[in-house]
Amino acid sequence: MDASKNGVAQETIQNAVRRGSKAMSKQEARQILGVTEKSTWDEISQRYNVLFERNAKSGSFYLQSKVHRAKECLEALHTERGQGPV
Amino acid sequence: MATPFLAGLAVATAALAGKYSIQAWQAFKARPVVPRMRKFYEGGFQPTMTRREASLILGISREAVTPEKVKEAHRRVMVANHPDAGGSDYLASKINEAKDVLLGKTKSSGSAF
Repeated sequence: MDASKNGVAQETIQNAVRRGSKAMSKQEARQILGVTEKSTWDEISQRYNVLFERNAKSGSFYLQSKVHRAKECLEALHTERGQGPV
Repeated sequence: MATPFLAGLAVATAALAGKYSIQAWQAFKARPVVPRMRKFYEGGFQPTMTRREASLILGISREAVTPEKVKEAHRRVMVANHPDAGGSDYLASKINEAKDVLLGKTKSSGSAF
């Protein structure tokens, strides 16, 4: 499997180009947690808990960090949405 | 003569100083212990995976990279992130990529295995 040609590598480069900074993009955050734009905060939170705990147990601290940053990134988005007038 | 009086005063001062020092030290020792949390890595994944990132993903040190260790680490980390078991595809592919990078299977090496 040629990692340089598959979709994930391309997406990662696009993520980097788009953001142009060290911060994680929303797109990447969703990919990391395996959620979509339509996912509810409950779903995201659940995915985060599962992934975070499992990586704490048998994954690496680096991956745990990414999972955590992904949640942080989306949390801001969902919290903002919640505060708007319905 | 005033000497005994002064001597007594000096002793009293030393005693008080000692008492406050001990109290300060005990307060310092009794301060709430905040567990030193290891700071999470910032940002997302790198656009091109480096050996450094790969070793971080698999949780092994760059000095100790042997094929056996890489495969064993890859298995372990995949258990936590297997797509069929609730993990995300993106992370799984990153883990696979990390293994490939450390085993020298990148496009630059052109290795047949």
